[in-house]
Amino acid sequence: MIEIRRRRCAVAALVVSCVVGLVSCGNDDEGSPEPRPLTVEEATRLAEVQFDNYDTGGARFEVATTFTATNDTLYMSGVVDWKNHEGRAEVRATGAEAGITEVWWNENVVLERRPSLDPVLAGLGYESVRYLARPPATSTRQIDRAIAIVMALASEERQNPVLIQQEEGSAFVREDALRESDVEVLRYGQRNQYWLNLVDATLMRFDGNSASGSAPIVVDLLQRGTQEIPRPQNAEVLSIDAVPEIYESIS
Amino acid sequence: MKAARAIAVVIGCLAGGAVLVSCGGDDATSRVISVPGDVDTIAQAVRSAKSGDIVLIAAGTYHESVKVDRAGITIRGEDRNAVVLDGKHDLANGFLVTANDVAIENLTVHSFTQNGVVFNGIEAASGGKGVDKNVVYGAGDAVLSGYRTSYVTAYNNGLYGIYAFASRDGLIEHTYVSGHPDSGIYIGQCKPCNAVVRNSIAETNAIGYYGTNASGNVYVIDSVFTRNRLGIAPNSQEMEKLAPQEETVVAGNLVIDNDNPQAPKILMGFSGGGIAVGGGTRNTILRNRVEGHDVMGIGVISMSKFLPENNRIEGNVLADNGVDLLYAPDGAREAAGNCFIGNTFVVSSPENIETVLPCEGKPTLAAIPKFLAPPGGDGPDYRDIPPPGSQTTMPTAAFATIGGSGDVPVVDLGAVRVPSR
Repeated sequence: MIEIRRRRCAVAALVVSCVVGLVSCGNDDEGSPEPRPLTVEEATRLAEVQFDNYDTGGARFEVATTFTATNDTLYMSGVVDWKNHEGRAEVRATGAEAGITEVWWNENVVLERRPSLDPVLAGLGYESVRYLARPPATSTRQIDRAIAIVMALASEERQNPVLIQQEEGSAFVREDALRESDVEVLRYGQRNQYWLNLVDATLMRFDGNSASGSAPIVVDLLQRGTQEIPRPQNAEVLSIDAVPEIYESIS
Repeated sequence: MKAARAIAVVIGCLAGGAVLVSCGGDDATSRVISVPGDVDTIAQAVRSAKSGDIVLIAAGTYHESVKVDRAGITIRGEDRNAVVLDGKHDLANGFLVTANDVAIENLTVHSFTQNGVVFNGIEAASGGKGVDKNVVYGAGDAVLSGYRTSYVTAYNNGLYGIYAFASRDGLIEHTYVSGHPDSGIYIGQCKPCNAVVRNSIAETNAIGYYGTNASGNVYVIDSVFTRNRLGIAPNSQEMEKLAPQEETVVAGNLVIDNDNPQAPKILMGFSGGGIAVGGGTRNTILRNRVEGHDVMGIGVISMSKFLPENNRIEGNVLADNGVDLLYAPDGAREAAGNCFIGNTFVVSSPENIETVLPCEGKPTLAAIPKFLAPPGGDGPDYRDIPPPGSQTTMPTAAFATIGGSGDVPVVDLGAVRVPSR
């Protein structure tokens, strides 16, 4: 269907879940007070989060996610530039993404660093290659899903608080403390929680999960601000199209 | 709604200006609360006001976000151009109205991160307790009832200029909106809405007027929509409740050059349309002048999963549009009661649109054209849009003696004419 423009309501929660198929979110701590409906002021703070991140430019971040069906784990620590849609992170993974130690990405490409491939690539004459380049694949790659979630924490558009308020599941969850700051935990929709600094309403943590509850993820934003993210040199990068059999065997 | 009292005229109430004077009219206890004469801030004045009171603001720049939770009051600037609420891009809303029968008059509100003025039906209906998941806001009694903006200028706010959500019985008049990255004027999620937008100007916004799921007795008339990315768009969407959108009348408007690359960009959708009926039902687009849009003048199209039905496009004058008249709902297979009659135009899609989609007689539509909305393109940061010049200030003869939104005017469509440029 053609759209004049889509309402800016689906906030990060739905953006995230649309992009990566996530839905369903963290369980509240046992013993915590019952979540209550968002006030308009709380919804307004939530509505500002993505735009505020975009306006800030970027952040240092950490990602931790476990895929409960397979026990695969993925940890990322890096920097993101939301305005230029770029990022770079060190990676530790078990399972499907094991072997990747670093990624760089933009809208069109993901560069993977897999040290174990260095001798193989050198044997093929690609001595200088350190990164394999491929298109993003959020529907099939765990690491790309995580990247998509990090990117979806920022938007050029503000959200609409009244639509956040009436989204089923949206709630004030609790007040908490995180990294020596007081925070409020606000839920948007059924599955995604935003930990906002009580002093300046900046996003300190996002946690969410997949529809099946099998992919809980936590994204911590550690230091917000413009980020310089150097892209690997062209000589270090090789398209997977040049070595399809090798890439297929390890991915 | 209170009957007629907003029409009463006693200038003395304004001139007396000062200390909680009791004014004439039909409510001897009504007061004028002057800012900063009686209290320092607008918010303080609102908190001390009661139904029928007028908060009168002197010339000056105020860095306030004002929550209006007192029903039946009027907040009035002494001078539209000199009474300025400046959010400095760190406060959320100029006025967050959560009570019934409130009027905002004769002032300027700009640089708020969310809205210039927002009438919030959730807050009004829930008493500030937040959403009850069993309630559909915007229908039945779950509304904010009675609202008005008159002679208000809103510019460079982060979402909407004037926004009425889940609200009923409203009048937006003599209002100027510009520089908004969403719509300048937005009426959403109400049924029936009973709302009139008239004698207003929307310029250099991403969208001039947007009406998502705004149904029943909505009139957008005698106004100017120019140099936005998109002029006027009643539409249906799943993201808000009460879909599909129904029964908006868009009449007698000047809709010109809404393909402005210097307006804030539309992030999802298209730029270059005059009037787009997006998946709406029983809308009437009547006697507008629609010129200078690179995509289309008036289009009847689909929106989200919604197909347009029984919309009537009549008596409009169109020129210099990519396509003057367009019927191209994606997924539709028939006319679905949509019809075109008595329009002045050159190019239509399908060709001979008034013959194949007549308002009288049987449609003979052979195939529905494909409409591929071009990308909107980049645009400036809304915060960098130049502020508007001075706007016409409210005539003192229109100053009411008693606060409140007053009655929604009855629209005489017979008197509406195609405006000249």
